[in-house]
Amino acid sequence: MADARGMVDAAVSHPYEILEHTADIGIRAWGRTLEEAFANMAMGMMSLIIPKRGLVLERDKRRVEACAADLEGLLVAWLEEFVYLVDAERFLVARVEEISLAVPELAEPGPQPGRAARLADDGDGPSAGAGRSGDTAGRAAAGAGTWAVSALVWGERMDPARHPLEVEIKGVSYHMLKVERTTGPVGGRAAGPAAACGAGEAARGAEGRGDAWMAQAIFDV
Amino acid sequence: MASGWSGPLERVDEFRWRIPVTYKAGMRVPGMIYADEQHVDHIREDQAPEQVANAAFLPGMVGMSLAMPDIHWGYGFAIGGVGATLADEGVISPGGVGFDINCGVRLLRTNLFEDEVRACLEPLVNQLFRDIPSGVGSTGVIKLGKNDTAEVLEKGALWAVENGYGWLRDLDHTEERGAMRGADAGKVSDKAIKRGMPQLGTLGSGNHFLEVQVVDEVFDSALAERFGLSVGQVVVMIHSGSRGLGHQVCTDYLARMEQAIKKYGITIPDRQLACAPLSSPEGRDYFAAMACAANYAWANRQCIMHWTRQAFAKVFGRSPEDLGMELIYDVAHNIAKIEDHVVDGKRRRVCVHRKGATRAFPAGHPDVPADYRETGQPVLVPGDMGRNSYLLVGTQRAMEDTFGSTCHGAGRVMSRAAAKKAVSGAALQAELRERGIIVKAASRGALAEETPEAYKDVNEVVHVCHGAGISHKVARMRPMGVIKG
Repeated sequence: MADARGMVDAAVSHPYEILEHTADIGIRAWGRTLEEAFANMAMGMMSLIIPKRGLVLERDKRRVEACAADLEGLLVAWLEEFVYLVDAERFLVARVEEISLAVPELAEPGPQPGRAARLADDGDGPSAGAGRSGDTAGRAAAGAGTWAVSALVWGERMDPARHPLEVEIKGVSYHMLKVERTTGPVGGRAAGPAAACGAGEAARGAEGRGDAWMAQAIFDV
Repeated sequence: MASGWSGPLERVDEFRWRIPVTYKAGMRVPGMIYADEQHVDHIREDQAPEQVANAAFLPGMVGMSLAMPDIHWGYGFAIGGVGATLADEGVISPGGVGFDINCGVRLLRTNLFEDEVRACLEPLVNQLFRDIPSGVGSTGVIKLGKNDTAEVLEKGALWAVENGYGWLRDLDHTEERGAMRGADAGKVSDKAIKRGMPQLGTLGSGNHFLEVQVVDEVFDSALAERFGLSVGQVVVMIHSGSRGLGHQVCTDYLARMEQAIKKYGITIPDRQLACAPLSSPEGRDYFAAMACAANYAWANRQCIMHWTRQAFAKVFGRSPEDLGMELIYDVAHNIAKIEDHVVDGKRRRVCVHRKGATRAFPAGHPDVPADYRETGQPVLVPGDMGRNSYLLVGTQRAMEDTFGSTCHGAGRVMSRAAAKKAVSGAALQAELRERGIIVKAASRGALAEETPEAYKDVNEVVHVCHGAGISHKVARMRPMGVIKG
């Protein structure tokens, strides 16, 4: 990752929005790639917990990993890891640095199997490798194999004196859960600062096709 | 973002509306929503009725998929949802319990009257706020190791009493005596235990609260007297749950149930309703883990009550015993319980899911503590911080119509974001102070989300439950001092 620092700078723009729900609250996020959409979902969720996100400094890093039987389940498992980081390890996340998704089976040889392939090899699922997430996303519905995500995140330990926390997220629900391709202005919306950096390789995979990803989830608060 | 629901609601009587079993292919039983005419249109404003219909898909569901009058849009079951599945051939669904397993309420009385407490309300509220950890990310003063936590999970409120938090007789006035049978800490993940270890004895945030209240109306003086209550008397209501431990148990088992529905070939219309047969390893494990979380919640409320007694003792210079600070009762309102009910004329063992609903067993029921065998089980219904809360009792009608269940609170009508736009935390605090209600909150933003106007009027919710006969009004309280997370 040559310039990973610029990857998902939600403090400058807002590649996510809050979904209002009678008793709970949700986030909808966009990304030019699945990885960006996942990273933006995580940062959107952090913005619910601490709206003044700039107060969270990049002092320490953690690896976040999750896996699931399908893509939507992976989004839940991924976000649950952030709930756990905050609640159990009292760690607030300022930024998602590297992120890679491993998909269950290779639809066609991907141009950048790089990290994602290694991740799949490390996993205990039947993953055979990884490709451009877009090519294989359709397989999510089939539910074959294991989807996995791995990321490096920066942040710091919670300090009640410096971190005004607004919402305690109890869990991530499957209610109204979505991860889908999107086009047009919605996708364009995400192609702000995120485009400047790139979830790197994977971002280039989607380039030129004019498509993007939208994800949403409702949290129990 | 909610669109309205335009499905069929057939009026049954003044307070009940049926969703016919023919509404959706796959429903095993009809739906039944408790509401009065004035509020039924409001219930149609979001997808809560669809969730009542969806819950009717669960294998083994009997009777009706019910919703109490505080129904609102949740996930899986609607909040306010009640559903019973056959214990031998039905399923258990974490989505019918919720993330905050054994979120619940306890009410303790005092011998104090409004004037005495009003005179030192400010120091009392400050003392309570200091002594009871609240707010997002708060941790408690109880230091638990992993083995201690496992003990809490299996012993529940008894663990708290054995460790000096409260009195043994408190357990007599706690649902399940504060420890559900079947709890097995081995079924709770390390992650859940890690979330739970530092949080025992913390109120949490969101709609959780501790309120100093005064009894402002008594509807049944004979019953009120049995609970040691009269108009003007001060009580304390505590609303909290199983904290991160319960949330993680729900999370862990939702993922496991996702696999289970494939394994057992169960078709459900919403992933959040993922479930497994109660008799399967997945179903049994969830029940054992859920019971652990429930026990943690009872221990949690027991500790909070203990510090409440201590805070009163400090401020009034009298012992909690002298202040008459007896626990009236403690109820769970997010839970699944194995109970016996009459289904189609036959006594059956069922798993009653109550997601935002309160058990309301009648006088004479063997599960009602001896002290209340003649009154019926006390039911505690918290309202918003500007209006009222209620003490009710369970009824025979509830046993017949709602698997012994009634409402659990006011029910939200406004999203949290809309509430924040409507009022600022500071303005709300000032407005409530004008009305004699002192509010201390860990976060003003969180406070604004809990503005009274974000909730249905609990008086109207209770009116429906009382009118429909599924619980009976005893006393109404109003808040004087409020601690919010």
